Amino acid sequence: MKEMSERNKNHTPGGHIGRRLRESLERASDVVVIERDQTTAARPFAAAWVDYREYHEAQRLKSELLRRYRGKALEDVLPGEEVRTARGVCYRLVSRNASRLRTVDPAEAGRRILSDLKLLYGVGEVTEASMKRQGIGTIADLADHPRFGGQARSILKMVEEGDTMGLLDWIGRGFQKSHPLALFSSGFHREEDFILIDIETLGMFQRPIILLGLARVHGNEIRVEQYLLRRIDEEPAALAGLLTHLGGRRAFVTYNGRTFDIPYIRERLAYYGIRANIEGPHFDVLHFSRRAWRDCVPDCKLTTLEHCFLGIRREDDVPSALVPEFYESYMRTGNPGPLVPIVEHNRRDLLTLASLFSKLHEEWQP
Amino acid sequence: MIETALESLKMSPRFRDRIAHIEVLPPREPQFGELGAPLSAGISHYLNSRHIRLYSHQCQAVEALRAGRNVILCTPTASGKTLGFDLPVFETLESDRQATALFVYPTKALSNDQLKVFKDMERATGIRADAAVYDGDTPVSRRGRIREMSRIIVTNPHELHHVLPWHSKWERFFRNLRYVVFDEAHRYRGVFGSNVAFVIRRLRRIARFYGASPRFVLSTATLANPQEFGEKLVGAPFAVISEDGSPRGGKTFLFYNPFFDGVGTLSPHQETRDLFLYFVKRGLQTLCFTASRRMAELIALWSKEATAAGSALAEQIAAYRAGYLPQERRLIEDGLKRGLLTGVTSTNALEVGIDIGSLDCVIISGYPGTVLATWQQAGRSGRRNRDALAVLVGFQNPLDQYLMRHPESFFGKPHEQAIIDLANPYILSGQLLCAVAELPFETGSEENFPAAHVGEMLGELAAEGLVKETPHGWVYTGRGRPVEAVGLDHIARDAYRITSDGVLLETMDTSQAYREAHMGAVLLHQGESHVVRRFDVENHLVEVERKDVDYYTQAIKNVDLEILGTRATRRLGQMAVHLGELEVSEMTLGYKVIQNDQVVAREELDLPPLRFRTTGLWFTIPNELRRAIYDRGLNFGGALHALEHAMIAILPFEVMCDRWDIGGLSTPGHPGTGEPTIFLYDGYEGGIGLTEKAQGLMERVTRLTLELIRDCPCETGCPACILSPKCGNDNRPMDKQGAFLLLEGMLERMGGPGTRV
Repeated sequence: MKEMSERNKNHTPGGHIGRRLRESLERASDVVVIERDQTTAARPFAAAWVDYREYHEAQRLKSELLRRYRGKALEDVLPGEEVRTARGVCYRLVSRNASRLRTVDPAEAGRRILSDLKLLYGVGEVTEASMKRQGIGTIADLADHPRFGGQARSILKMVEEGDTMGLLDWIGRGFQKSHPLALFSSGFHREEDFILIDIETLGMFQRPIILLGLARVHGNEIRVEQYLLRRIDEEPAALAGLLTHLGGRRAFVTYNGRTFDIPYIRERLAYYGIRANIEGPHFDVLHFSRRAWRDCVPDCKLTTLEHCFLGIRREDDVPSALVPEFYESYMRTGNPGPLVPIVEHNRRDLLTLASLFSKLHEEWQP
Repeated sequence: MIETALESLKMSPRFRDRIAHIEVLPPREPQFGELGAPLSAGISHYLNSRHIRLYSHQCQAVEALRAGRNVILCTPTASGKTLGFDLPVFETLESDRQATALFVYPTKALSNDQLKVFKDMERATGIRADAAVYDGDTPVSRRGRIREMSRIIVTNPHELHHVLPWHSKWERFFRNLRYVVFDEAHRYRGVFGSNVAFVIRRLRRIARFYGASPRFVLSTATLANPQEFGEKLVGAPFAVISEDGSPRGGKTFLFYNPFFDGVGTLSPHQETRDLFLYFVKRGLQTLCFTASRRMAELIALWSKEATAAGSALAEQIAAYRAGYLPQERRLIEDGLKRGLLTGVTSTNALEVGIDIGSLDCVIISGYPGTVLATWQQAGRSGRRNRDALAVLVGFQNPLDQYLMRHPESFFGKPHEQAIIDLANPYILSGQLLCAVAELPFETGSEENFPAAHVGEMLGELAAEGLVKETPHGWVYTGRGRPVEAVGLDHIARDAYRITSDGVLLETMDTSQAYREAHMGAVLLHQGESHVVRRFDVENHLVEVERKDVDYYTQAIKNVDLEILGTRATRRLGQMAVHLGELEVSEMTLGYKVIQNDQVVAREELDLPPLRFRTTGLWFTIPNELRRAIYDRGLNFGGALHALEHAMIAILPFEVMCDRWDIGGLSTPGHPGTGEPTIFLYDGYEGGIGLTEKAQGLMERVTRLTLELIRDCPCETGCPACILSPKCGNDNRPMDKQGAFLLLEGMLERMGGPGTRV
């Protein structure tokens, strides 16, 4: 072994091996800056991208923040509290926002679901129309039906028990996951059940989650809790912090969380060998938004919808794709400046998510 | 039939002088074995319904695996190795309803063949395994189900490399993993093998994380170092099973040397055609392996032309190669099996796995580069109750000619060592990064990774911001996904991409690209020639054009090297062989265009010098030896140069590699030693263990080199001994006699057995 270590020494003067590896990783990196003359069609597939102007504005913002917060401590710039968890200590920022979630009430949710006979396999438009003509108004009327009785009773049971998991599954199989009835199933939950989740990461999978944001309703407010990694080694604690919010009749509300946030959290839990069950009813607002608004907005990015429907135009925002770069800059310098817009970006995303979730219910009210 | 053909071949004035050697391998009766505990009813049914009785080595494999040991099976091709591990896997799957097994094959074709076997076994034994192939061709829609349901998954090393980061989705499979099988494991050597060794370590880490410790099974062709190889590849001890119990028909192995007189009258291709026709006309079903795709086509074509016009024989000859459509290939495979085809020419596309039945005769046109591959190809002929024939046609290069003159070295005990290097810092750093990104890396408990290197490497990666030490272990903090920046075929990901019409043909490490794919070079890909049209240093891109040309090219380069440090010195009598780190600068100056063995043009190239660190060995020539050369009026520089060439040429015979994997430099005076010195170095950045192994085999290598030079009938050196087709200095100066005297003197001083002259 001794002679091997000598060999190693001989091979790495000046760290050229590590440098080469980093460069080759950067070539394979996810973020691509789209130059001015590149058309949308030429945008690289499956990589996050930012456009030229956004990129340069963000760079300017970063330098300004580095200047403004030079020499300041993170705890002073972003006041929060230390939280002790099963996996160590992490840092949490809490903010209260005067806002609510507006869904439908359980009776309304049940009524809407049960009145759609097409939820029964084997019932299409034509059959439904003819049943309605025969006076069969709801699924409840079919509880004793020779052919559909079994299915009808299953659905009734789920509605009675408020089994949203089962309903989402059933609706998703018969219709689409983004069907309005899926959204209305949220009506079986109390406002306090919903947990809105949005994470900021160092990239696309395999890298740390640097900010775990969640929002829940407390009384007349939405309380946003953000687990921010002051150092990378706080990640398991932050994950454990999230886990304390789960359990009970919790239902997830996310924006693209079905594909990104939840699998990512699952992967990081597995990475640290933390065994946890993060299953639960999940309302992915991106899917519903696409269905509702695809034709009236340029794209379905959260910030686009925020601008179109809530009239908010963010100032000094960090584009999602550049969050890793901002955080890396904090890691490198210890200057908390670049974290400020990340935290704000995440908080804003959660609040907008809450608004859009409510707005969708309005949109689909008859 | 074979016997009479052979007898008349021996008598024929056309052929007889060229027969360099005849080895008769007698038929052998099967050695059956018994199992300690009987197999279950289902598995017994599978065997009985196919009238299979287990051979001794299969039983040994089953028992060793039942006893919980890792097994490396290295019996010859077609000895029924697969059954030796399939049975215990199914036995385990039957007794443990959750158990899973992973099978890794080097190619997709082999994976698919094996899948059929599993499906068949599942049906016959009634043991459900939902066996499935999971590789790049598996549709996304099926992947989830396979991960969640299948108990046997068949894949390849590249796919495995990409799957490991997603282990949380594979939890069920890894948690229950009981067996990992690597078939054709001898392919995992050199750069590829060293990468695979780390992929296996990553797999073992993840399995351990989920509480599993699977047994490993390696199946390989015959190697000189199976135990060492297995342990290096997997990082665990192995039981070696190498006593073959399967029956064999008799076989005659013939070495045929078109250059028996040192000159040759016909090209080896024409000689091959004549032999091929000779056997085919006698109704012997013959398969002819050629070095290139083009030759496979040409020999078939020439043979057809040579048959009498309108003769049915022409219809019975076909060429078979990798590029054919599956349908065309099946037609040929079927034609062979049903006896409709008598003669088929092929590249090594047919070498393994594909079932074509057994033939009367195999011609191997040119030594395939390893003893191992030669036996695999020769294994295509032979039937249980009938004699068979194999012919090796020697080409005019050192290894072929050495074999022709030293057949005992081929038929004697195995001497090829498969090399894996866990210390190449480039491979290690990339693989380490992959591991860190899969699970936090705790330096204290990662005994599978070479500890001495890892500590320092992690520090270096941390300095680049790629990893960070935390109380939970080292975690990954870099950009991008490491598996995407780390390939298995290369030292580094910055390999050159060789494209033709926008289609990627292959990738090459930088040094190989400079050597073989420079501007204007003629590049062979799967036996087809391409001409390089663009060489883009900045983007590491080479564009080639498919074109048949009647010339080839060779790069002219200048090598300079510096000794950075000596790692180990081995004393052999009065000689000393050093091993250490070198910094090599290869300057590619231009290239030669060669047509009909004549240099017809020289072109200059403007390429930046290539500098890399690698491992090499070197030795100096004692003063009195140098004086002896001068005293006889011989050229000392030429003697060193000839010795260097011959030694590099013979090395692959011991240490499995390509001749081009090893570089060399000989000089009458080197600043690093102050004396006449010969250097041999690994042609890969960071070294790949070749010269490290060679240092330990130096007496033998020196003796083989001496025999090569001594036994070549040429006067002053020829391509079969000291001339290298890729010599950067134009094979000048060269002194064959001087090299011989040097080698003789070296052997004397090493104190080895005296040499007979």
